[in-house]
Amino acid sequence: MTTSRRDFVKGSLAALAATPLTSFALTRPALAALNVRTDRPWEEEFRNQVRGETIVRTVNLPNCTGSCGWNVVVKDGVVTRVEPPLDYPDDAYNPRGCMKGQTYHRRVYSPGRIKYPMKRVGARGAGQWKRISWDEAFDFVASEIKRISEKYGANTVWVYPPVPATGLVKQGAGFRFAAVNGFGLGTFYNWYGDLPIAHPMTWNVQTEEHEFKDVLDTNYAIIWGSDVVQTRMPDAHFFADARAKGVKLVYISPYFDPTASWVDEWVRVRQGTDGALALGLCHVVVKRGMVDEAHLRRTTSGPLLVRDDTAKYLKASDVATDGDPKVFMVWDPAQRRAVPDTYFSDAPALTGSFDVMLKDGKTVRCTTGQSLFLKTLDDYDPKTVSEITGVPAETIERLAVEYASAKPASIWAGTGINHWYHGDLIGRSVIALAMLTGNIGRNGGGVSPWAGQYLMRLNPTDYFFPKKSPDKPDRYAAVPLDTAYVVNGPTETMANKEKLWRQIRCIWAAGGNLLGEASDQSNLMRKVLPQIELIVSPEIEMSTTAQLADIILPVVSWYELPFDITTTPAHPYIQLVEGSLPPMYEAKTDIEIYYEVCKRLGTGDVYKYNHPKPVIELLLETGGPKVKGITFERLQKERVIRVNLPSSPYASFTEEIEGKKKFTTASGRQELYKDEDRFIQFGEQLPVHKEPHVATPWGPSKVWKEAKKERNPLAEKYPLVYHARHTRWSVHSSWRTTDEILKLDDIGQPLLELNPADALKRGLTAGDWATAYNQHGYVKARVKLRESVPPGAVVIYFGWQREQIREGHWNALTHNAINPIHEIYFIPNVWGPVSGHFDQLCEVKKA
Amino acid sequence: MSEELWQKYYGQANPLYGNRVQYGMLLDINKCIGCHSCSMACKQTWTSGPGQDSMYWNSVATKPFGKYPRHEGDPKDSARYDYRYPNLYQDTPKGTYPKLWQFYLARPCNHCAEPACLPACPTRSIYKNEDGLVLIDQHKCEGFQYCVKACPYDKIYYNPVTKKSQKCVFCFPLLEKGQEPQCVKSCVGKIRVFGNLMDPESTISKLIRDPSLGAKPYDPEVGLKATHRVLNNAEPRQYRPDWGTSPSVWYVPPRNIPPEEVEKYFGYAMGGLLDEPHKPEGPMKMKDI
Repeated sequence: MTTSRRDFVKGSLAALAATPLTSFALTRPALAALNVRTDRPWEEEFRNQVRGETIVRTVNLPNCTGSCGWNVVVKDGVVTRVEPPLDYPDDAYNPRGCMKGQTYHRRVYSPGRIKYPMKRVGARGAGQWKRISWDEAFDFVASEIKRISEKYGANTVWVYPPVPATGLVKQGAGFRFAAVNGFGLGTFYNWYGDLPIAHPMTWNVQTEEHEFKDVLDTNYAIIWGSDVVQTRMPDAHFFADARAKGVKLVYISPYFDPTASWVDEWVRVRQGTDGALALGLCHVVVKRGMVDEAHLRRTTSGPLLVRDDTAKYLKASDVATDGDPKVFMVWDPAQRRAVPDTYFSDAPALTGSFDVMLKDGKTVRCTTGQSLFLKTLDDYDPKTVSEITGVPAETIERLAVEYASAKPASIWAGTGINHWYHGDLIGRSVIALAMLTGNIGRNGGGVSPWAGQYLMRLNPTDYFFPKKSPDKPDRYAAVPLDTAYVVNGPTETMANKEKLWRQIRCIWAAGGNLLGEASDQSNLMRKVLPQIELIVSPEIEMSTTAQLADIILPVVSWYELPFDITTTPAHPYIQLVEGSLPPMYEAKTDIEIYYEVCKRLGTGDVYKYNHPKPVIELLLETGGPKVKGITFERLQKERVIRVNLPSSPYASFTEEIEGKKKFTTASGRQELYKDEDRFIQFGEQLPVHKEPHVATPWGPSKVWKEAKKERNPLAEKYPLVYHARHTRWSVHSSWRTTDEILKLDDIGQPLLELNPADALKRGLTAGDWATAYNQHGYVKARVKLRESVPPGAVVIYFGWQREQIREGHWNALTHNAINPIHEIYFIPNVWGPVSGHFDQLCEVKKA
Repeated sequence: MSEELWQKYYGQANPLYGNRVQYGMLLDINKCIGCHSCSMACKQTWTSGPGQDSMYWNSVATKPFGKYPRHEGDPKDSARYDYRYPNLYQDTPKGTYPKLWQFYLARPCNHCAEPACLPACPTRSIYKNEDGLVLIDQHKCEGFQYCVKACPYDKIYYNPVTKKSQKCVFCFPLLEKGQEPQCVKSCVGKIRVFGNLMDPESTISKLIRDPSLGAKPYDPEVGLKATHRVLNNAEPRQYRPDWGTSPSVWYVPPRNIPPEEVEKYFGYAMGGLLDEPHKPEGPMKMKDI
């Protein structure tokens, strides 16, 4: 509507008043009120509220994977509100952004904003601070870092890394800071438990996922253990849109989550047994003959021969003296002998056992990977799986048929199935289902996690780890110190203890609220913190980490940043971040803080940058083919630009599945069968179901046949499964203290949510104070009763800051036992210990 | 809604108030993710001032237990309305496993064709403007609060600081700028369609007359920056039409709840009984808040 239309209406209304109306209408006093009063000056006051505004298009940068653009509305130098800009070139992505983005300005003006550098004067956490100048702060931090470096080594100064894609310049600045000074650098993706380690195991990729919009291409969608309605708010509508068009949505989860109330079918599975369910579905798919054999034969480890004696893949070097140890073998039924594998060939046998003559003249029995998998699947008939998972056998039969016959069918397997000690097995089982049915590499298919904003759509190496000199390949590098080891301590089975374990002495908490959010809180507080001599917390608001730090540095909010760029796996755009306010109080940008400290450490020249603009230019220039043609000037003009991707909507492995190129794994195929020693040692060459490591009433970490004969002694003491979960009301701990958001989150306090039956047993009613506890720690909170939580479980929505919890901590009950399978290799954020914090038990009593 | 009925209700000027435009909304409950982005967009734009702490012109509640405002005792005694904790009992379903159900009900002011609040106003401060919006003149209002009691939807709020009653304005200043209301523009679940119910060519009136159109994305409406939305194919209904005010906000009712429950919320013939169905009881009750 425009003013002219408004005038038109006014005119017509005047005409209406002038001409005689029906007597019926005229008798109504209200109509008189409408017509008599021509001027309504109060309306003008409302109009004035939205006049004289300036609008800046920017992006909010929390680690929620949303990467949503916002129009920041500034009036008289104050941000009054934000609105969705509705400017994504593909209209399917408009509008983007939820109520948290809408209230970021409440955090900019929050009473908890850190205004100036502060130094601790009392005990840690006592809340006694002294205001200092920036120069004093920089000098103090630099001298302490120097002292610690000299005493213990530079790699005991440890940067807790930010999630880089949330703001490539400001977050990458932390990586560069660690690199140029040779500091230790933590991990984030595996440490949070977001890394689906089944992806590197199967495909040798960090993570691969379809563009969210690809949900619209699917014929059937299984949402597996991820509460999309709460945690993927900007993109959840793609599922709803697909459903409106008749696509069936299935949600697999132990809880009646918002997503469960919103899909066609909710399947309640026992916690941590999703892998068994997936294998049960595979069993039915095989028994019903619904397997896509061509897909398996051409692209997976199915036809590869595995030696029966060693359980290792048969290699060309086993068969011939001049054979290549890197070449895998298949059985050629035409020639009746083992031949080197050719990718995408239709010739090899997919199933069977064969005698193969080795180079030393001995004969060894070899079996194809597919045959081995089929043998594994024998243990997962619907009846047994029903016993393990609690899902009725008929449901398993039906789901398998529905999924296998609806090609393409997609699986959205988020982090819910990932946060387990055996998350790798669960993930591989789910992938096996997609592989058997040929749903990999097709639009509308795939297994997509969409978790964690890990994905930078450009190559940032030149910025993160600068070259030592322009003409040599040598680079400054940080020492990778995995966060899991930093918190947990070293393990006997870790990949390279000498290199990858250091007792750290200084924490630079760049990447977020480490001390407030870390799982294994009890260990962190009791064992790790006393060893730390300096905690630096560059922060916007007074988070738990800032409260426990030794020195706090005020950082600008996202609305005060000069510039930044950001990307996400959820949508294919690179966006420019631009501030709308000058820096408030004494706040400085991250990059400026790092630069100033480097200057005092003698590495200022190497660090070089103290303003984002040249960095953005560098990143785009050296970023590689995906950002080719994208420049700072273009970004300034267009704000949001699609990066160069091979398909639209983007789907993973499309080229591999068409035979245009191989996978990057050792065999060049999708490796369902793994033959590293440790896989063989634990009997996990192929995906199997193992009971959870802790959270099971049966024999922990055992396959079902053995597990069901035993009882978990811990479960007798602590019979409830404990899950601290993501909520819609916060991005981890961000927004947890925002007034407007808290007001809408039930009663604005942490709540221990139980099934009414469990509460009755313990004499609890809603609103009671209760303590959830186990051998690691405890948390005290009020009780909420919901049928959504199954009997035998406790859910607490997480993210609460120190001052919001009456006693204990919601992560004090967690402890991440490290799975040796995750330690076979160590590649930061790609192959490393994945947090299994869902694998935990507790008991609840009235407080 | 049949073409015939549409003609009867929307095909002509409002017989009571003469407006030839009636803005309204259509919300697909099946798509709602309960994120409260609508409430928050509204709050940041209009109700972040003094006296408006617990005032949500647009509110979302998890039905059946969630209610905003909650009241104890006499449902028409506005002094006993409790506006605190607007999202109490969030995600608390009814029933027992495996038959659990809940749904999110987002409610702006209905801008009724026959508003109950308007005739209740002793100072004649409430009027229906030429766009069919029900507005309270903030200069004339003297804060008697008869409208607060009269509105069966509890969508009028008394501001104790300005001493005036206030309500949703369908963002008329933004409409005049050619934008949709904030709750529609920011609806990240894409459940809302906004438009003129009286225009036979508007998307919303077409969707209400022929729900089968809902299965297709539609083009942005001329002048209003509507973004493409896909709605479920089901007959749109109004929330509690039995109150007789001809609400202008329409809903695609939830598919996942028992059909008899749909009738309670979206049916005629007193299906919903006189007060809201399903008061929380027994162990659901939060103490000491």
